[in-house]
Amino acid sequence: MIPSVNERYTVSPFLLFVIIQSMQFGLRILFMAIKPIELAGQDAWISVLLSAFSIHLVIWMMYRILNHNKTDLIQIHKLFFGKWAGNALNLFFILYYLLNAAHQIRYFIEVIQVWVFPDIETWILALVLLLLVYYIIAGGFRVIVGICLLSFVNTFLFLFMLFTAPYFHFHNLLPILNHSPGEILEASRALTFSYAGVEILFFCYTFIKTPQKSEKWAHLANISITILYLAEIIFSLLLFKQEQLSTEIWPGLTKYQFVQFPFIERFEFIGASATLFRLFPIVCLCIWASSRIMKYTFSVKQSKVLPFFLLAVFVAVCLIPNRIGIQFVQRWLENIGLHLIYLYIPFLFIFDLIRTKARKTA
Amino acid sequence: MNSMPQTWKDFKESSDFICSRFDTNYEPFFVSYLKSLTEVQLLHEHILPCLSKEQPLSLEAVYRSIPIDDKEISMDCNDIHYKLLHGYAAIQQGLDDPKTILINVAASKGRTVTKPEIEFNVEGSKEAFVESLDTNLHLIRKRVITPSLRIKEITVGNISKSRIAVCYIDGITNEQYLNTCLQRIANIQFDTVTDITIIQQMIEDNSHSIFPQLLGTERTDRVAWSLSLGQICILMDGSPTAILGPVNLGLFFTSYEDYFSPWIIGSIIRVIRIISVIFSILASAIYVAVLTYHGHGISNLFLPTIISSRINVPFPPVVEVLIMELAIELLREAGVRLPSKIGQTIGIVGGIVLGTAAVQASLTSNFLLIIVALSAMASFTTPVFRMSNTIRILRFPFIIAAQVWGLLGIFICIIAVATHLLRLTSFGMPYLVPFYPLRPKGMFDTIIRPPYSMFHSRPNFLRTKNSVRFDKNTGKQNKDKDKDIDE
Amino acid sequence: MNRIICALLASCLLLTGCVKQQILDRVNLFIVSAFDESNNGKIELMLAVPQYPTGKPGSVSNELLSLSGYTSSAIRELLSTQLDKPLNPGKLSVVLFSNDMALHGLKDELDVLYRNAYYSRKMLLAVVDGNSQQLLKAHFSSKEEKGMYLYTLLDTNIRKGILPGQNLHEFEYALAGKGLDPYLPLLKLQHDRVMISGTALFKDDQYELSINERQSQLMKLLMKDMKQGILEVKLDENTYLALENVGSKVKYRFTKNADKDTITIELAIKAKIRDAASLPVLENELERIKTDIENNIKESEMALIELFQKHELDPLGLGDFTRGHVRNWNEKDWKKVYPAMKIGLNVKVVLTETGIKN
Repeated sequence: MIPSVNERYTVSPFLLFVIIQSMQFGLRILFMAIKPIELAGQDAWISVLLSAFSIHLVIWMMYRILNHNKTDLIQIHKLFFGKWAGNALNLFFILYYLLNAAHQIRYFIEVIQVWVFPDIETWILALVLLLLVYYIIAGGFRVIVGICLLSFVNTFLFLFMLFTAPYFHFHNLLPILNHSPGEILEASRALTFSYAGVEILFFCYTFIKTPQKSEKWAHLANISITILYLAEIIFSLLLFKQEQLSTEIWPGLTKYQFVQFPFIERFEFIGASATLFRLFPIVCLCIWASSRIMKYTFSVKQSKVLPFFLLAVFVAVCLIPNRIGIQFVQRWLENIGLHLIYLYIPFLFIFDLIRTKARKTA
Repeated sequence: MNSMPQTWKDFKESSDFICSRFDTNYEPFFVSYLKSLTEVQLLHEHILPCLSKEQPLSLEAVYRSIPIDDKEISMDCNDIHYKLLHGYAAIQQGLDDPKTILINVAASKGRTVTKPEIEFNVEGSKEAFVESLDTNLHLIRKRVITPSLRIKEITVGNISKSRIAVCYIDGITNEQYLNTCLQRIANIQFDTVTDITIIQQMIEDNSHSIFPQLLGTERTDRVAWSLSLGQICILMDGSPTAILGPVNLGLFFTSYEDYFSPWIIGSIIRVIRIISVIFSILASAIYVAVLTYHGHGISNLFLPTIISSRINVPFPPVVEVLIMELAIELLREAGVRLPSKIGQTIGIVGGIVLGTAAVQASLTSNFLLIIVALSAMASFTTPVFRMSNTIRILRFPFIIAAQVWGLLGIFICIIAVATHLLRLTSFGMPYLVPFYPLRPKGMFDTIIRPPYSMFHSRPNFLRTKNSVRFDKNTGKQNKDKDKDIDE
Repeated sequence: MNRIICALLASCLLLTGCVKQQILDRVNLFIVSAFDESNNGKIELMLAVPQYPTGKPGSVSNELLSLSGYTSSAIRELLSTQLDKPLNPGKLSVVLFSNDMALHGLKDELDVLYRNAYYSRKMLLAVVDGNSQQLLKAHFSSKEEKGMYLYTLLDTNIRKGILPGQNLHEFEYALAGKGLDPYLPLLKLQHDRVMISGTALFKDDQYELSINERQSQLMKLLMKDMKQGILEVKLDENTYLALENVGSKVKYRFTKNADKDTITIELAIKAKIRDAASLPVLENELERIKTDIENNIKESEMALIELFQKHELDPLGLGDFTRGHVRNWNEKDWKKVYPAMKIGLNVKVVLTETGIKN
């Protein structure tokens, strides 16, 4: 089956900005500040900029591949590598996305278990969240993007970080460039996982109204994420001592402890519950992408596959027991994400170039 | 008089069926009509003289001499029955001749045009629709004086055979929405349809949803405005409400009275309305969530007030809230059905006495009483009646979600409701447009009511064929550009 | 299909999803806790639990409970056995440590406060000159709840006032940071009144030195820009002047030299004369008065800094400041250099107004 999307289900290019931003700006911002600052100290913001620049290159490469072939990754796999290898790669993506979704949900449940309700059971929260995910995905791609737009509003919650302003120590940012380029690059490498949502572009491409013209929105999404990550890293640097930061697990949430309103004294239960809005876009997009790949690889109906995938994610979530399990899964995902973005996509790009050249000469 | 034409054997049993026989020097004439439906005076003054005075010979001669315009000769039995049931009078010659003259002498008895009952307004016209379809169409035609206003009539219901009129302005309304609407009405198969709201539920996109997908109004000026925007209006004979579609969520929170005030005031009132709706839905739920799970989030200065007001209440917060909410719903339902004379007294008794007594008996805390009363009042700020019902009901899932998982439950509920709204459509138009799918130009008249000088195009989410209201280059506000200060 | 989903969701939630409730009026929320050292290496924890009587939101009374044990969390749980409602630690805002405990180090107790999500990082800490339980037992607040009183006392004077102090976050910041030393306000009980009698300076997490209120005010002047405070200045014998600080700015400057690096602190104070001791403050006298004031302030501040250097304490954060200006800064080297380091101070006073009288 060749994927073809009815005009009615496509979304305008501006929403690509929202999609990619929601996919990248997930729960990772809660912990992304720790590793880079450990490795590169006060020069971590340089690593952020380096990472962002490399992701811009990656997006550019992705658009070249997609614009040439005018279809999404599922078909590209089959075109480039033939039926069997292509399907194997598609299967790999399915598993990657399901693992991603399971990790996000388990991470969120852990946040709730530590910050809000210490005695909530994993499986019950996972069950409710996955039922709601089913309801959202069953509405189609447009509903998922609508939920992304809703969670976009949550980005403004980020402004509450400004409440920590009285505790800023600006000289934490000095001295500049105290670290070797090797350390800065290491920190960049650690940051890749935080940018890792861009490959969803491969699967959303056919759902945009004018895909060729939508490149600028993808770049804008990356820029906005860079600004957010820069703000997070700089705020973390200003607020915490580096030794203090390495003992924190969720610096993003600790910052909410400083927010104070006349009526509300402890804001972190609102902040921790509000990360729910950041969870849904990622989980919905991941599971939607997996079911869509499944549809075109094995020719089954998306709505039939969906309950099975949700069940698989549910089982995976319940099987991850505690922090150690989550860290383990996270390390796997970081590795796969790194290789995907920095090895696989350039490889596809070069393959595409060679292929077109070979076609032209033949 | 014991014999009458065979056509009337079904009607013989009804006591309001009159079949009078006029003897002439030819075959006798039978005049049959349903007394309860016809204007008998018209019959006696204009029709019967045609039969008795001039001693006509044939049916055709009688036909020509009747001074009423809406008349025909028919031989189809079903048609004759149908017309008789709509107030026509039938004249037949002889017992066997199937040829019948049908004359329209229908009486229109119904309410006269009065004030709107549900959508009260301070300024503006106070004409509301009535039950008679013809009067309603008359009221609409009075306000929309253009030949492009088309009215299509469809009959629905096997027994009630209700007349539905679909009005739209040709050249503005999008044809896709119109065809959807007409198709759905034509597909209805039901026996009795008594009110337009029943039609509304049958042609809605999702009849399981608590959100109404078509807007009901009883104001003629609002209908005229909506028609000019590009919406479709559906009326029914026997129902004093008009249904407008397609609509989006924003339209349910706009009152037509916003257009009468200056635009800044109108906008502020709209914003207040939206805030009060959100408060109405979430206030009780937040109370339950904070008091049950997140008590340490309340500021230190506020804590003694809340705790000491709740200290003797034996119930957990959720039970307290549910009791108060149910009490208010009880009062509201009772208030609707009480006769007006007793209504006021009971209202005062219920509201004040019960409330004070509840606090003193420590059944509830006065802090909660304020919240529940305010949110009950706030749910009435929606100008559309159906939406205020929705808001009333929508509160309860939030309270239950708050009880189960505190603030996290409220957020999950918000996402569930948002998803439901995202999936809803009205005649195919997404319910949350212009917020999603994002159409910045269409956001013009949602939260802020723009000044009329800027209102030169119709909302783009209605996909009208002609979106220009007035030429913006020539229609600008008159300002003396070359005038200097103090000149 | 969707209806089945909804029904499943609803039944799941209502049957099994419930979490432990903390209904506000059925738990005891305590605001202040006091730590003391006990024998055999145990600690004694005292909590002041507020009791809200019905119908009178103004009057709150406190119930004091104390117990000793090895870890504060275990003690807290055992204290619940003395109460009819369970204890909820989520509202803890003030923690008092007795000076014995502070002398031996606060790291263990602070770890508990830092680790648990239900404690706020903004809670205020204080060292009590004496026994902290004694302080809590005293009747220092008649109308207000004890915890609230202490919290407001510390908050008004420290966050909005003239004395320096740190909340939990800042204390950990100074503790974890290299080249910084933490400090806490010092509370004292005198004739049934609680007062802040100065600042307790810490080396790492152990209490080392205390300074009085005036020295604390001077210390705060050196640390951050302030917009309030009255400075008492001695001109000559028996002539004292009182200045109101309407805006002080402090800047640190680092100068690299071949052999020794120096830090210069520049303090610029904008002041209004509030109390001139019936000295006519005339135009020509103003210059002289200003110079006298500057010298006086410089003397007091330098004395303070020398005191810090003598005890090898660095609450001003000079080490941290140096770290930002020197590449490859090392804490060990700094500790060697600091006691003898030359720290210069330039005080500049601008007299803006003299009131409505000359």
